[in-house]
Amino acid sequence: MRRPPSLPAGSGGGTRDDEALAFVLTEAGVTGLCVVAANAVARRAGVAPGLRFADARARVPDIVAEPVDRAADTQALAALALWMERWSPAIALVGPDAVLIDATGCAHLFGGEAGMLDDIAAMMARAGLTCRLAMAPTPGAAIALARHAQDRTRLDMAGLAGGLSGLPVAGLRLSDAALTLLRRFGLTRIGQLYGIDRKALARRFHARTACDAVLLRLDQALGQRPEPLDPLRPPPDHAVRLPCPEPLLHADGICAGLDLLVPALCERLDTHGEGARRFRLALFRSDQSVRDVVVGAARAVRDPDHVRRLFRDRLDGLDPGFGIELIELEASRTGPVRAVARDLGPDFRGETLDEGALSILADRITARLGDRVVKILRPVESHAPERAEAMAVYDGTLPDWGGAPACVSRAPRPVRLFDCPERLDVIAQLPDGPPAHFVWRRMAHRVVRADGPERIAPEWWRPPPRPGRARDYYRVEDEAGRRYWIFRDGLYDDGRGGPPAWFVHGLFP
Amino acid sequence: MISRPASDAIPARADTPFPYGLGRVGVHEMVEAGFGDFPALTGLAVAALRTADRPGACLWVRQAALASEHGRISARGLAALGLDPGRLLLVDAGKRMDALRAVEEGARARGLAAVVAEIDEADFTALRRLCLASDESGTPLMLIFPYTRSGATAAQGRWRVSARASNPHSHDARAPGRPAWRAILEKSRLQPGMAGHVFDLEFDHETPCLRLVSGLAARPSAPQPRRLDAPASIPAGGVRWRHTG
Repeated sequence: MRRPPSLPAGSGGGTRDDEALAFVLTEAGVTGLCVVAANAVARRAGVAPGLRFADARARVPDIVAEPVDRAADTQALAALALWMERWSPAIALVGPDAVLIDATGCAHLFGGEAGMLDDIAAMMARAGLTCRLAMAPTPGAAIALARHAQDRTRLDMAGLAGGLSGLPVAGLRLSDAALTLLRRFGLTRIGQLYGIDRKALARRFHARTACDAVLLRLDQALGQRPEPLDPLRPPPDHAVRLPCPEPLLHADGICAGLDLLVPALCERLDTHGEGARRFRLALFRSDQSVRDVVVGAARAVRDPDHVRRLFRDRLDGLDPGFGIELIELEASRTGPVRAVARDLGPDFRGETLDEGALSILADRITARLGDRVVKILRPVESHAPERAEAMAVYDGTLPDWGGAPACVSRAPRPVRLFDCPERLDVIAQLPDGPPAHFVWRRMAHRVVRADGPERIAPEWWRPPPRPGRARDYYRVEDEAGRRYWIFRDGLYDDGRGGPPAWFVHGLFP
Repeated sequence: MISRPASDAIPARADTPFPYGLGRVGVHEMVEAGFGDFPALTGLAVAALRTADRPGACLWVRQAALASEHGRISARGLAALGLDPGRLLLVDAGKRMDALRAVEEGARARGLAAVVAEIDEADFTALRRLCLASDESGTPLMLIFPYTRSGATAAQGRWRVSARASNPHSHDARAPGRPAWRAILEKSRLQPGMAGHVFDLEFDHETPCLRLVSGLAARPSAPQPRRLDAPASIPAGGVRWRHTG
C-alpha cells in the first residue's frame, strides 16, 4: 500500500480530498497508540493528530492506519528541500514538517513576495503536495504564521507584532512543558506575552531556563534577537542558472546547457579574480528531485574548456526522468588565481615542470576515476620506515623532497615497501646476523649476500601505544638474485617478550 | 584521424641505441620473468626514467590488486635510486579499466617525463589506443605486467625482466652490490633484429648509468672470507714499511 506523503509544510499530513478512506499514521506514545497525522477524510470525521488510536477507531470504524516512519519522512523532506533551492540558495529544515526558505534578495526574481508564494504554491500543487505558506521578516514569525494562520499570509516589519498577536503560543516552537505552564497561566495567545512583566513571568516558571526559552522565541519572532539560519547545504560562492523553456529529456540538451553555463560562470569568476576548486551541476527535475554532478579541481581554475571537459564524461549516466526544468552550475571553494608565466629553468629552454598542466591532468583523471585518486608522497621526519613518508591527496602542489633529512635518506631503502611486514620462517638462525635460510611465502631462500644490521630503535617520544621493540634491518640477496629487506623484531635478550621474530619489510630492485 | 600502424610513427632506425626507446619514446611493456621479479621491473623502470632524463613529472599508475601482492612503491626507495619523489604523481586505480583510463589520460598529456603503470593485463585494443595517444603527445609509456602476460602486443617493445645476482659491493665483498637485472628483449619494433637478445644490466644510480655487463663479469664471484687474523692481501714476504712524516 502506498503511503500518502505526510510531509508538506504545516499541513499535518493532509493529502488530496479525492481519497474516500480515512487514513491515519500512528505512533506508540506514553498512553498507547496515538494518531500523529490524519488525512482530510479522517479530519472531517473528527480524527485529529494527538488523538488516541482507540478513540479514532471508535469514531471511524473502517479507518486505515499505518505506523509512521519518521526517518523516511525526514529524508524525503530533505530531498524536497534540496529541490526548493530553485527559489533560494539558503534552505533550512525546521522540525519534522517545515522548510524555511531565506527569501532575502530572491523574491523580486519571482515577481515580488506574493508572486513568489504563488509560484511555490503552483509548483507544489502540480506535484500533488499540499502545503501552507507564509512569509514574514523573521524565521520565527514565518513558522508561526505557516502553522497557525491562513495560507499565504504575508507580514512586513511594521505589521509583525499585530499579525502575530492573535496566534496561539504553540506557534513559537516551545516545549510541551512550557506550553502547559503558559496555558495554566491563561496565556494562550502570542499577543498576551507582549506587555507582560518579564521578571514576574520568570518567577512563575520553575526554572529560569524555561522562562528564558519562551522569551527567546518571542524575541526572535519579533525580530528583537537574531536567529541565524542553519542551511541544509552551505550556499555556493558563485552560481549561474538556466531555466529551460521546456523540460529537457536528452543528454544533448544538458550538454548544450552546460556549454552556456560554464562560460558565464567562468566570466563571473574572472571578474572577481578568482577560480574555484569545486563545481556542482544541479539538475532540477520536474518530479521534485535534484540530480547533481560534482567535479573537483586540484587547484583553483576558471578555464571554461577545462571545466567543461571535467563534466564531459560524467554526464553520460544521468537520468533526466520526466524532464529537467532548471540547470544550475555552482562554484565553491574559490580562491584567488593569478596568471603567472612559467620560468625558463636552469637551461633557459623553458623545460621546467609545468605544475598547471599537471594539475589539469590530475583533474581529468579525478573526473574519470573518482575523488581522492591522484596522490603524492610527502616526506615525514621519522626513522621508522613505515612512517617516513605519508600519502596525501594531490592538491595542486608537488611535495618538496629537497629538504628531507639526509640522515634518513642515506641509508639503503627498498623501492617497494609492504604496509604490513610479512612474517618469515627462519630455518638456520645465526646469533648476530641475518638468517642463512628463510622461508617466505612458502618458498625457501638461501642467503648469499647480506648487509647490515641497521638498528632502528622504537621512537620512545611518541605517545602510547608505543611501537614495541628495536629492529635490526638487513639487506639480503638470495641465490636467485632477489634482494629483500628483512628485519628481526627485537633483540635476543632485551627482556621484552619472547624470542624475536623475523619479517620481510621491503623488496630491493 | 587516419589509423596507421604504430611502426610508421616511429621509424625503425638502425642507430637507435640501447635501451631501444625504453623510457624515451613509445609504449614499452615490461613483464616479470617469474613471480617475484616485480621489484626488478620497478628498478628497471626507475633506471630507464633516470637515464632518459626527460623534464617534467612522472605519472605512476597503480592497480590495487598488484599493490597488495608486491608492496607499494616507496618514496625513500626511489630517492635512494636517485629519482626525485617530489616529481611523482601517483594514481591509485581500483580496477584494470580505471587504471587504463588513467594511463590514457597521461598518454594524451604533454609535458610528462613518462607514464609508468602497474597493470595486471591489457588487451591489444587498449594497448593500440595507448600507442596512438603516446605517438601524438610524445609521452613515453612503460607498462609493468606480472609474469602471466604473454601473446600479441601493440607496444613498441616487450622486455622480460628477472633479478640477477649482483656484483659484490665495492667496499664489502659480502654485501649485495649495485642493482642487477637480466632483461630479454622479446619484441621490438624499433630494433626488430635485436628481438630475443638477452641483456645483463647493472644500474649505477650516481652517474646515472644503465649499463650492459658482459657475461664473464656478471658471474657472481664467490664471497671472500674475511679473516682478521690472516689477511689474504698481505704478500708473502711480509709488509714493507714505509717511513712517513
